[in-house]
Amino acid sequence: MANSATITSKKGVKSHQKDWKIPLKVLILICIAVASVSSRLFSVIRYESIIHEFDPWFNFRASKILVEQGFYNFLNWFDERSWYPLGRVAGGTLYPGLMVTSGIIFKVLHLLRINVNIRDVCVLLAPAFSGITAIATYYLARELKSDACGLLAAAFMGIAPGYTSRSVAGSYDNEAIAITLLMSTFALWIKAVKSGSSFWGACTGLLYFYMVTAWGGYVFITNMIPLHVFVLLLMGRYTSKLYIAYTTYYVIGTLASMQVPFVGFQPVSTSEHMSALGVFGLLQLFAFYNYVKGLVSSKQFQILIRFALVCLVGLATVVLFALSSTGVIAPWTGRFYSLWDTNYAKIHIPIIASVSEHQPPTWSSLFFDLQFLIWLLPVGVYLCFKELRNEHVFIIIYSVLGTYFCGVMVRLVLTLTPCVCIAAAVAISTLLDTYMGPEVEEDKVSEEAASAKSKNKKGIFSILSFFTSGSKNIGIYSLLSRVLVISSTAYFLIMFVYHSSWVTSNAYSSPTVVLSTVLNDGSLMYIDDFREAYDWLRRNTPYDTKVMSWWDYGYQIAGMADRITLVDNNTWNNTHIATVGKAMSSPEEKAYPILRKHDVDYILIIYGGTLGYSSDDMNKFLWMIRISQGLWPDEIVERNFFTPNGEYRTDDAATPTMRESLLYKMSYHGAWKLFPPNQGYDRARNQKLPSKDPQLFTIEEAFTTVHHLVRLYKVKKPDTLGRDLKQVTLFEEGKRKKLRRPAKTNEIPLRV
Amino acid sequence: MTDVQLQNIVTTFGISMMLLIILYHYLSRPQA
Repeated sequence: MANSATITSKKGVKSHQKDWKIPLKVLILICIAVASVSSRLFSVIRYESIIHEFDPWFNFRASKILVEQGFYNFLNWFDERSWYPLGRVAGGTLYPGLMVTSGIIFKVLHLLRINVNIRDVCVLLAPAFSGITAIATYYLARELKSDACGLLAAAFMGIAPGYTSRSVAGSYDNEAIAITLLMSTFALWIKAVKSGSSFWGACTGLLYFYMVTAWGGYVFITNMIPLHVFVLLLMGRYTSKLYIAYTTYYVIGTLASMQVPFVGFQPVSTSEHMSALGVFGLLQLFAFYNYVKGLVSSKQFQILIRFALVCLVGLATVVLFALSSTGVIAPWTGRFYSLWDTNYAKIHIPIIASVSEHQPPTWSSLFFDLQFLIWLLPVGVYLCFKELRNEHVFIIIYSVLGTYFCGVMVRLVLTLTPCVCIAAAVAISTLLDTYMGPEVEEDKVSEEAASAKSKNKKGIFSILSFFTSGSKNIGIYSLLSRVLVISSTAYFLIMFVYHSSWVTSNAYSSPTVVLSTVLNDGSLMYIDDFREAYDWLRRNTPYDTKVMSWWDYGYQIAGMADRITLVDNNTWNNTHIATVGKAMSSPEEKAYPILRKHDVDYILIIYGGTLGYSSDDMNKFLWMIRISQGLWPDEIVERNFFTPNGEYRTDDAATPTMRESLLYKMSYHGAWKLFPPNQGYDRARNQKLPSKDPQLFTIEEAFTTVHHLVRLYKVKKPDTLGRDLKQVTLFEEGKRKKLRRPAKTNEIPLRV
Repeated sequence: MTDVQLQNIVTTFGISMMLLIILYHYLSRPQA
């Protein structure tokens, strides 16, 4: 009776707990969604509803065109206001997923009579999708261990700074939705492999298509899933479930992805996609082999089949290499070479190397972005090795690839973060399960303790056995150790929340377009010079004005000032960018013909010497020089910009080449006016200002913002009288050289 | 809404979710 009563009560407790599970799970997911969305709103609260940084400005501009002109006009959009005079086939060279998503949301909201601005939809898209990412992570992680593990992974993913950095409000970039799609595709893939259902395989393929429309990083999925299949085949884990999942995913996903104009036939013609195609073929051979093996029992025939398969694989590899070397299959692009060879970009493609987010990360930046999760990654991977089901193999491969790629480029912390969150969740969840687990049966414990005592009765062994005996008072199952471990885990989790919200608020919520600084009294001062300059351009120049600037500011000029640009952040034409670099690094007399050939009306530069803004053009100058030197090594020589001691000097010790360059002159022209005599200082480079103010002849200062951050120069038209512009300037300043009469030597009188 | 208020919302919901997850682990612990 007593036993049955105990069993009934235990059952009652279990069902009682199950009743609580679903509402508790929903409550936790709501908390995760609120925390992840609200942690991304600091920029809106602190500044305003504004698009951030550089690339998002183009995406925003494209979204406006989609909403105003419709889908087909958007796909056929030729942007004649960028890359002057070439223009850009914008509709065919972008990933439309982001714009289409925000366009659909915009239309649906308007159908529901909610009149929102397209800008607000764009600004708030990334925070909204972050909640969905957390839920997708939950579904992926629960397949590895348990519901509780999934919830923990979702919580980490929701607020981890490594992901927040690319998804705060206003960060309207492809990554804003791409990470959501990445996690959803992976979750569906694991579901498809586990169930062997062609439905889930098709869903994976369709989501993969969505991912292809949204981000160039889709290639990560393209290679990740085949690699998973390949490793499973090597482990001897071929099943019909795997065959159904992969073939359905590959066929639907590939055919669908080829409908994206920018992708086209790449899935069957470029090296990045060949592994997926190869694994597809390999899987067919495996299926055929297994089919024949089931029908024919002859040992010799099976050996023959195996031999034929090996020959086929070998032949396929040879054909692949032959097609790659002859150019039928496009070779790996430079961006991918730079992933394998870390010095490749530095030597061959300076444009890629010049971007700060393409540099390798430091350990401190990894801790900054992932906090204690980064050192839980190996623990999680180890626990995955212990289980080693198909889904664990997937996470192991993901962690190896993710860690490697993140070590090459700091921006790929973004793709590592989901894997770290899942591995850390597995580790923490296992820890909590262990210390919250059931007590060891009393009899077993006492038996173990007794045997230990009898073995080591004396000395230090008796103390050791006391600690390792697993008695109720000490060891894993004692109350003290449980409380200590669980409370310290809770402490780490809470610290992670504080760290994440602090990092998001202080490091990742600045829109870059508007800067802020803390004054002595603790109040914030906003530096709105970028928008001031763009507004000046919009108000004071004709609509067809051509503005030259370094490529970083191209999208912003097009988006905010609505003026024609020579180069922008798309960086599709290296020669054009190098031409701008050449104009910036050449003396005026050489730069002026370049400016005239490209019909440049204004030049926009960023000078941070007054504010101490280190991301200004003078600090990017070396990249302009290197990029243009790549094309004109005889005219632009990097060495000439360094002093004989190898220093990058901008004060009086600057080299003549540096002092004569157009960018140098534009940066320091008139900068001394802000300081008392001989006290001018460049706070960005911690050097004195040149004592002699650089004089300009072919361009003139048009506008400088209030904090001296953005400077606009107007390019002078050729002199109507055909004079040299230098002479004209000197003449107008009253510095005209006196005409000297030729010396009268051997003067012969006309008349004698 | 001020910056501090938003910070409080984030940390309140963040800490709540972490503690609730620990509670969930406790409720779903394996039975002996």
